[in-house]
Amino acid sequence: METTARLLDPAMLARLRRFPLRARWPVVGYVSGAHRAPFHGFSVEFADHRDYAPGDDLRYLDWKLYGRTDKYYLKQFEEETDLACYLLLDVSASMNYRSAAAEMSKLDYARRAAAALAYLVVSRQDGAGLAAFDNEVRTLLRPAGHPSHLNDLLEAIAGAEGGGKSSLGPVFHELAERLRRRGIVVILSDLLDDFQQIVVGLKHLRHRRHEVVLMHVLDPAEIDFPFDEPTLFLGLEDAVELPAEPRAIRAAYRAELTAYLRRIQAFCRSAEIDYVQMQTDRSLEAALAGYLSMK
Amino acid sequence: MPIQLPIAFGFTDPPMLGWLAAAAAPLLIQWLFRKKHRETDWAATAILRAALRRRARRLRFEYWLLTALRTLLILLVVAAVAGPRLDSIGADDSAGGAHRIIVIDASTSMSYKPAGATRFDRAKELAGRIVGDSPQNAAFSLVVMGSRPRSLVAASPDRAEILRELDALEPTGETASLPPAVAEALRLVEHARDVLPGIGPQQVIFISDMQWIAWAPRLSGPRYAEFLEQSVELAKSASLIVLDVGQPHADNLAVVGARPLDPPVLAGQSTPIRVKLMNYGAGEISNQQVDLLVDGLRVARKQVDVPLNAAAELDFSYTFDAPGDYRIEAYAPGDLLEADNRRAASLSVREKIRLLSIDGRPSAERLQGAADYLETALAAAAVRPDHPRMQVETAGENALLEADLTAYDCIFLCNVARFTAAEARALNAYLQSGGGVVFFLGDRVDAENYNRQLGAPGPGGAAGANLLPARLNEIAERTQYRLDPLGFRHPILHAFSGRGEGLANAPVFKYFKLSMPVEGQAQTSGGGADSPNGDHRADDSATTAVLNVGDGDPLIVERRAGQGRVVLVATAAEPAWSALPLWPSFVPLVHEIAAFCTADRLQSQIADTAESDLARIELDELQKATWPGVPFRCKTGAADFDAATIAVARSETAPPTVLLYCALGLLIADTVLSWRFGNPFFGQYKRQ
Repeated sequence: METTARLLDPAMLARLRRFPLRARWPVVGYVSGAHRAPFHGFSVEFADHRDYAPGDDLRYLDWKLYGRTDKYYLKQFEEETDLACYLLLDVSASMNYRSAAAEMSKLDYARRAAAALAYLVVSRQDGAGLAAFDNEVRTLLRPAGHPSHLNDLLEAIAGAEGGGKSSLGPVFHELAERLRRRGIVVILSDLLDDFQQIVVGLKHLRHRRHEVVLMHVLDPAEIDFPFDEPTLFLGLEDAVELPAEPRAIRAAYRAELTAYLRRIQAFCRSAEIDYVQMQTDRSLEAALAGYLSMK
Repeated sequence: MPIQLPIAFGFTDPPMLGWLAAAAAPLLIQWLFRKKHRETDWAATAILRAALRRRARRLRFEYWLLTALRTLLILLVVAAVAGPRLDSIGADDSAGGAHRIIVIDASTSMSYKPAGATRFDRAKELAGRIVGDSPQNAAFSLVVMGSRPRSLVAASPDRAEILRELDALEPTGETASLPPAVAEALRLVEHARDVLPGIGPQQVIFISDMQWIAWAPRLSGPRYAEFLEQSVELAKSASLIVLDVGQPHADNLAVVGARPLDPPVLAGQSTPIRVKLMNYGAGEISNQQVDLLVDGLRVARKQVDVPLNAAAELDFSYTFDAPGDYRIEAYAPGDLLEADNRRAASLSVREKIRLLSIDGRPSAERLQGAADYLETALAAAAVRPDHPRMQVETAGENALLEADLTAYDCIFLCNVARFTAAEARALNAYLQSGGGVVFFLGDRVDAENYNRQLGAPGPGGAAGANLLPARLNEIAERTQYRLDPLGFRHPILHAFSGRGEGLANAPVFKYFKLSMPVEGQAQTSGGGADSPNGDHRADDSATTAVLNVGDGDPLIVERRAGQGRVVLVATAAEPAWSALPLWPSFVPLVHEIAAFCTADRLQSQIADTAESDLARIELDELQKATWPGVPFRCKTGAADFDAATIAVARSETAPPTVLLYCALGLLIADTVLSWRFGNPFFGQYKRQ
């Protein structure tokens, strides 16, 4: 079991803090936070100017602009609220895979990513929640933004154990029903499950107006298929033994994987889901920074 | 356009085909190493399964392609080593015609006549059909298979010539033998290459009854190795075909001997004639009729039972009325091999036995001459009613050159001092004609002269008549009170058996010590000789001891010389040398010596009894014992030879190098494809 201390890299987090996690669309929050609410209003954050019309409240007259332009303009403000971020962590057996090229398993990598995101969210007083799942939801923590909640999240992330077979679609359906508050749903999974069920599940989440971020965690061996000798592949989630001559099927495997990834990416584009591909032999910071910088 | 239709495929070295089992090696290795792979956990099983499914057909194809390449590679190498051969039927369209060497067995056994035609007739018919069905540009050789094979036609394109020779061919009465036939065929194969440029494929076609005596050569050591080497060489140069015209179970009864029992044969005396029969069949023969013919006329008929695989003897008695040459023949009719149902012998029937006694030291006084006691004994024997009639003439040494020695059946030389070369030649010629010579030595004998003139040729080519049974050495003057009759085994002493104590007690005072020839280095005078029973006997001119003195020194020795016999008595026929002339045994002794020397003046028609045994060699014995590792084809069943058998045409041996080049190409392809495909193994393409 991961220790909470190992989950966070202070140096990485310090660098990532400049990339706040923002919602793509206006979210509904209970606390005035940093995220756009779907309604315009008078709030702290200046949004725009408009021409003064007789009868407007002169308290919002931008006197500095008048001094420059001799014209009367009113300030417009955006109403800000807090973000609910749900971290969905796949703890199925397939996530335990680790090849020789990777320093850690996909699950460890996903834990670190989840921990980093939880930190980033909570540090901005946004609410972060956690759902760890394999073929069912194993752990569920509701979003909260107070600092002590971060510890709970980290402990839950570190202690999340599953090991069962993947069942992403049904889990997404369940979570779509349970996560009432609209927010950002960050899914950390290898997505090695039935594609159609995954799609239907994601669609359900999107139907609930959640912003979905799909962080696809893969091991480099699963991408490159670097094996040379005749190998017997033992399935992690099912009692499958696949003898294969890797050199003979490497091209076909890569083609299948590429096609699978394209399907996922195409769906994500169509469903307005952010897709982030992560490899466990690559820098987590770079992956997260790359995504956050686009937000 | 002539069409070649393959009718048979064979190999020059069939035992190598056992290595074809190695073709299973790729599959076996695949199976053995199936489990020899690494194992790893894997998460993306669905994608992997999809990839395997996607490539299943291709993987299956690659696996079987590589397996087939590797198996074919092994098959090609094994086939190249085994030396494949393709026989096809049809016209020979090669630029040079085929050369067919027909080796036809003409031995006595081929006269066996199972059903209207003899084996030899069948063989000639087959040979004729082979010649007739051959393409126009074919050449032929014809070899008669016997103890010494004869090539009647050598690589001739004239088929009329070979057909004429076939038509005129008759059984030789010899025993066939395979090794000289193989050597002759090999010579003809090489001869054909020299005289027929551009010659096509060559065949050697043996037509024989596969008799054991001919096809199971009794060779060993270097001679067998030479025969096998020639056979292998022949098989490389030509395809060997054996057409078996024999029958599986051929019974045969043969007359193996017909001879008078007590030669010489004299007119007016009842002569016992013994006939010997041999049963080579599968069962006992009862009441076999046997006829005795004299000069073609049947004079007696008897029946006899001949046990299975055994001999039987039958005695006839006949009195020749007048002296002269007669032909006696025993005939046992009834079986299918007529050639050995008769056995004949030529007899010279005499009025009496004429003897010449040459006295080397004549004397006017009675019993003082060297030959007086001998002549007295011979004369005494001549008047005995139970002895053949003998006429003894006495002459001096000049008779050797002046008299017609052939008028005498036997010449006694008593104490002759020395011989000239001419006299030695005269004696030798007399012996060659079948006469008998008896030497009695004495005090006048010049041993050196005897050894030089009558002994073996000396060193440096010095002349010697080579008729003396033993070399004369010094005179031993030690009285021997006992003689050793050597068990009375010699025919001369047969009559003394059981009552020879008198002979054995005759004292001998002086005798010449004789040096017998070393065993295995018998002096030969050339040619063979006929035994009294009519069977051909190899030259047996080894000296045989008849009677020894008590010390073991030979006293009487004899040997064959030419057609005749020489008896050497190491002592004199005089009382000064031994008491023998005074002994009662002396008369029968000299009579038996005279009878022994004249007994072989018979001439029989020689027929080799070996051919009477029709036992045949079977195919597996032929392959294992006679021709191990020699590729050949054998067609059995004389009645079933079909057009395909007769029209056997080309035998082509696919050059092994072609196969090896193909194997090399496959090896390269295997290497490239293995690099390209990886190492597909059995099971990975199974449906997932």
